[in-house]
Amino acid sequence: MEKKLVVEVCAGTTCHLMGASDLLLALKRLEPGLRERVRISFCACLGECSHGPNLRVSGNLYHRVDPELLPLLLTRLLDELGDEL
Amino acid sequence: MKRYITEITRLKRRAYAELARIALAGRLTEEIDYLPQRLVKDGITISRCCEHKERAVITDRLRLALGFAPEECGGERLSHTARRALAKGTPAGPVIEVLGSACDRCPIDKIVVTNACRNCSAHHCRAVCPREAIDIIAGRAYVNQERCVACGQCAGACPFGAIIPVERPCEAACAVKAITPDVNQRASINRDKCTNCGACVGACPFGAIGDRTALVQVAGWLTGEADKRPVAMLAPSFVGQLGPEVSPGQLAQALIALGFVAVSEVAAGADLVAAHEAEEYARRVPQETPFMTSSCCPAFVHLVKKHFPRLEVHLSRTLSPALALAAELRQVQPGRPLVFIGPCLAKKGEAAASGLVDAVLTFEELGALLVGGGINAAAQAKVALGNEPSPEARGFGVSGGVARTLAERLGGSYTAACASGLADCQKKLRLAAAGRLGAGFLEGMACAGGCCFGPGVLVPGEVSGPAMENFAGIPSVHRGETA
Repeated sequence: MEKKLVVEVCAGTTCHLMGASDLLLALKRLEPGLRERVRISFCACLGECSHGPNLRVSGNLYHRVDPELLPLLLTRLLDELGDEL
Repeated sequence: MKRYITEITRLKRRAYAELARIALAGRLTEEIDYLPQRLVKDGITISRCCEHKERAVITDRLRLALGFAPEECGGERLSHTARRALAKGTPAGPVIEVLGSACDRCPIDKIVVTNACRNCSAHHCRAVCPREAIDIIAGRAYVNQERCVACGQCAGACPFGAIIPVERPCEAACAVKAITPDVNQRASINRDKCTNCGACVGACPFGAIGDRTALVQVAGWLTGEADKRPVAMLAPSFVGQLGPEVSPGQLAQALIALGFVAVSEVAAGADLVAAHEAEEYARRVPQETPFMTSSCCPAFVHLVKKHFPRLEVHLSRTLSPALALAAELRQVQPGRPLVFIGPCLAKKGEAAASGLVDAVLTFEELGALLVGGGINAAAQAKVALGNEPSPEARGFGVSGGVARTLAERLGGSYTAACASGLADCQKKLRLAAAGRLGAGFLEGMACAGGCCFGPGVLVPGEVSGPAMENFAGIPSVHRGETA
């Protein structure tokens, strides 16, 4: 089975206030081809509250993530990681 | 993708969180004067002309957050206003205020000819205009605003779509036409008409309309004497407000960590209300009156009192769930401030008028307090909530919830109509006034879809509504949560 890109959404209260729910919505609305290559998970806090909303994708932190740019970011990461996933 | 959170919302939440942080740390008057500078760092502004304007708007927003309209502050330092806020107690005065510094004075012309006008030969716009309000000047159609009645026929007739109807977003959002331009074209709220529904607050794309908050007073109680620590009353729509990963028990635990001594669900008050309202219905309808309306939505109550005064006799005399619970909590927790936490701005007015609830926070303001207090709800332990309300009561915050609850209690000849959204409430009240409601009970909710779509929420009602009903429907799962 093809390995998936793990996207961790920070569920912390600060990130939530700064729009983490928009990120979650954007993740759920990814086009099917992209959506099936992504696994959504949560964590209680990524420790970067002043830069929220935060995401962690395959170990790397992303700050102030724009929900509209999320598909682009994930496509790029999937291309870059390729076989390393 | 429609964004739920805009940059304006983010900046407002940052401002509230910073205000909460310094208030909880007991450094309100020392630090508040520095907040506008701190919040607009490095001259970066996204939504205004320059950083100075952004700071002016933030200053006005902080004044409102302290409970004062900018006009009531006469340019005094924020620290002065903060001292007055601490001395005065929870905010008085109208709930919703226009921030004059942020209002962009949108055009008041209702019909606008755009650059797409080609000055065609047919001039359909002139032909259809019933008031001869279209002039052709310098090779282009112009609307004579003195004659124009904004019927919009020219907009429909133009083959280029060059004429567009424009409405100020605040005016468009206000179902009762309480917002009009003042002499300077700034938005102005007519208090005789305003229902405190809060629709305009979210509608203004400049963030120029806001509401008074009790943030600093609540912060004072949370950090004050132990026997004066406040009790939290959570509106039924609280489920999922801090994200899908935060359970009701965790939210309660976060409130305790913040300094609340106890957490009650307002749904417990809804149970009291349902029993009382069902009894009232059985007694009054149809013997005394052909129909009765709900009384739990304070904006709906305002709508009836201000716009349909002759129907006021039909309002249920039952207290709202929040007030019913508060009356009970007064006995159980004497001397402690009662803080209602919900999605609603109109509740701020209801609480102030009743004297039963000491302060109202929106979910957004609660979020700011948690952030300011350094408390992460997602990291809390799960605990059970007290006073287990019925499943129906927990569903009170969705449109149809109240009517459904009465149906279960009354059955028989009971018939109900549900009005969802202020405009729909107006429509059904007009029918009722004409004797054509066609039901014995009218449930009125000012926010379309119910309370979970209110102006003070943290997540869209489309997400929180199902979460709330899910929580209400399977209380056994909730009861399974233990400390």
